[in-house]
Amino acid sequence: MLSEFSVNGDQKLKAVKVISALLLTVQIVSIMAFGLSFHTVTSILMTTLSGDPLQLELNFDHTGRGEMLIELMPLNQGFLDAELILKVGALDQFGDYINQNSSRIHLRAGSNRSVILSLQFSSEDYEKLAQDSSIEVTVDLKTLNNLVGISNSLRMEMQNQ
Amino acid sequence: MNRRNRALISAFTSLIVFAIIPLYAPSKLPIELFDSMTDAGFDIQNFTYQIAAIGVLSSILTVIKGFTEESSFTYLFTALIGNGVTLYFTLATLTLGDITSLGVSTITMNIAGGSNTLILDMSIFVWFAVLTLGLQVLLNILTFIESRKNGLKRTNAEDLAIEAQMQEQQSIHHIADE
Repeated sequence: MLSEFSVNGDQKLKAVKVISALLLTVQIVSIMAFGLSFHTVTSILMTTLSGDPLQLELNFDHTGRGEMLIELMPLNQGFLDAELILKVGALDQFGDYINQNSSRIHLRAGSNRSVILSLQFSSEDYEKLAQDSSIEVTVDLKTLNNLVGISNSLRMEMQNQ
Repeated sequence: MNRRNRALISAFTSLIVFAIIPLYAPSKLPIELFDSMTDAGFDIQNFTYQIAAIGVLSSILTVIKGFTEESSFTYLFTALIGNGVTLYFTLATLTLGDITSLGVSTITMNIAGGSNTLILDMSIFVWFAVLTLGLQVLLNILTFIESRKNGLKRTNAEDLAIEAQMQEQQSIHHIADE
């Protein structure tokens, strides 16, 4: 039965060596890719959606018109570049968007950017915002040539005062 | 150290690392963390059971491999099943126990005054794992063929040696008879 194989023993041994080397390469590449992308993704998320870098400001004038400013300062402490889509939205009590805005940025490895997103509100929106509304900040993050992605959506209920 | 002892030590280590520790560790977690993980949609008990089952199976396969010849079909089948188990382990780890999600996991956590939803897309690593499995299967089959061929060569050489020995004995007897 073994004689059916057309290649000789040396060629097969060579094939075993080549596949072993290929296997080792794939394993090393996948572990490195996982480690680098995970490091990049976590470092950006930690600096974007937690702590001081997230600044939120909501102001209404006497006519009822208002503006919300959200400042995000993502910092890429990883070794890979990343593509970020930052979205901010105001939702009414039923979960429907009153207004939303987004911005796309390219964050190079080791760099940081400041992004200010604004939401404009009319006087009618003010009424909606006053009733159990919430603010949603979403960070869509892709790294490793857009092969690895993470989306973090933070929804906060508005405190009416 | 021979193959059998190596296999026994390796199986024992796998059993401790992948079966005993995952089953024991959750009982040491704070109950609040356990509850928050459950609320986030991560079934930690199911996950640890899966890992432990993989650990037990992996240990059994390691012992079988250690006690069978590399040129036997039992060794080949055990190695192939082992490759499948390794893939399952990788998928279970990457997808947090839900392998049907194929690398896209969703975790929702309730935080003070709101919620936090995390969607992880690790599907590229699932494909890496599948590629690794393919290469491992190919490698096991080629190694098996190689071992069989070496075994056959050895058998032929042994047969020739026995034949030569018999001929030699026959000629000695022949001379003695003369």
